[in-house]
Amino acid sequence: MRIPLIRGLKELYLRREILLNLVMRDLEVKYKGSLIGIFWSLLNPVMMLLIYTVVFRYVIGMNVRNFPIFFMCGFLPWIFLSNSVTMAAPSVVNNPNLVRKVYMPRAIIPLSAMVACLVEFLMTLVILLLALPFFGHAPGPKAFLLPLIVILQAVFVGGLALLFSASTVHFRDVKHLLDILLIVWFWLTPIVYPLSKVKSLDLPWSPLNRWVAGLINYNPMSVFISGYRSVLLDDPITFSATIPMMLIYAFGAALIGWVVFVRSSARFAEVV
Amino acid sequence: MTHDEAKMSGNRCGDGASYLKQAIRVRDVSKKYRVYYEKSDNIKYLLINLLKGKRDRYQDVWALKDIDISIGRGETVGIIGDNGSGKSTLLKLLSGILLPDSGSVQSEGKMATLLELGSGFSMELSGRKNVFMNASILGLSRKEARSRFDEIVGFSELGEFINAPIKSYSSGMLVRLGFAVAISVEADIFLIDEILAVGDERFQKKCLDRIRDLQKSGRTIVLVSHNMDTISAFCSRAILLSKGKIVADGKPDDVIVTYRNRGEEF
Repeated sequence: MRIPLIRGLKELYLRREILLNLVMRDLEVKYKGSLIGIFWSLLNPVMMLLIYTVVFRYVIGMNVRNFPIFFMCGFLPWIFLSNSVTMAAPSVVNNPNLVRKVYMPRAIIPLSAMVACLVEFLMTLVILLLALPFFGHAPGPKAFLLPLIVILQAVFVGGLALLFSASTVHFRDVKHLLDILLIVWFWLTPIVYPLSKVKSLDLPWSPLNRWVAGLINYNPMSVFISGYRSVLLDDPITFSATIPMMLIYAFGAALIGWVVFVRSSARFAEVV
Repeated sequence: MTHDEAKMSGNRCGDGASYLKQAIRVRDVSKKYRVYYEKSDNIKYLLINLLKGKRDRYQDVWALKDIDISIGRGETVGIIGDNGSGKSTLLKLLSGILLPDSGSVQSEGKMATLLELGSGFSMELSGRKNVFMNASILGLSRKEARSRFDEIVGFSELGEFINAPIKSYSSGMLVRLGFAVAISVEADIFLIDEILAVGDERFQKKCLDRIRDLQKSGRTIVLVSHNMDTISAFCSRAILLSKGKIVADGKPDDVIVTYRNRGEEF
């Protein structure tokens, strides 16, 4: 007996108030109802900005125009992804009573972790938008596309949250693999360096080089971050080409995550 | 055999007319648990065991076997039996927390599952916020919870403490708050597992009075309890489980006698 995939979605929608409550609970415990808490979310990105500025500009000698803004446009979406999956992965295992003692759509548990991170991301994004004019990048008309990219990235991250939380139930060491994956993924994504730098590199042809270059060019986070930079910084990226890719990545991840989660959640109450 | 097998299979044919009168219908349900002696529940061991050619070792234990029950609307059914007889498993199957390995469970109407008090409680937050959290998990909308809030606080007897973080509550206060929310849930079917025995005697009486109100308003209640006085006082019917099978099903007092007399044989 399996809960059909569509009925599960409907049920998720009907019980959405639980999700909102869990998100508010997470945020409230974290920030204690104080808006100053947002600055805690900015502490990590700002520290990283300082470190990468020192290393890249003064040690390696790479000079990216307007680095602070360039970096933040990539790093804030990255933080959203990495926080979401690291919080969501153990979420089901850490809430055994919500699985064993009550009947509710279990997908709410990892998704609420993701949405809490999304709220933080949105707050930092607002601060970034306010800061842009001071760096000579007053948001242009393209910035109206920003919500679309945020939504598509959230759908993508939601899919990963479901996938990793379900696999953590069955394999408790997924967390370790996830940590490694995130480090590799971070460096294979143009966050601290521009994508154009990779494209202009004159590397000797080898299968490995091509493979790595392909990953840097086309991995989902590269595509999303290119999107963010395109709308926020008017980066000369062919934006029309990235939208279909974002759609494919977002709904591909969501579909895989949902199918895996629903199929394995039937036995959650027995193994959590 | 105290089985009501003939009656059950009789009901099964008359789906059309009798269906509406049924709140819960359990057909041929079996549920097994896999008890592992050795399990690769992480990727590292899975890989090592794959290389060594070792398999997971486990044994299947049937928690429930071929269970047939139908519960009519407005019935209060007590489920009794020793520890490990399958009572809680049955309740979890009725609620949908567990899915059966074979057979089917059907129910008509909104269901409230009260297996523990205070699901989703967060110690850092105030009693007020926890009420809304817990209520949404139990199936109460925010609007409903808001309209019933005063009633909930009144029942819990917490007064002003409702605005304090619940980490400052005594265990009695926590239990009273949990129960007050649980019992404010509006549903047609209530599944209750041993949560009635909370608080001091006076509070317990209040809880039981509330259960009486539910009964009077025609709600269906399935109750798991080790307290035979509760079963005998409240239930219109009792089911005795032993080793995953129904051993007796009928009037509470008769079933309790069966349970007490044959207790050691099972």
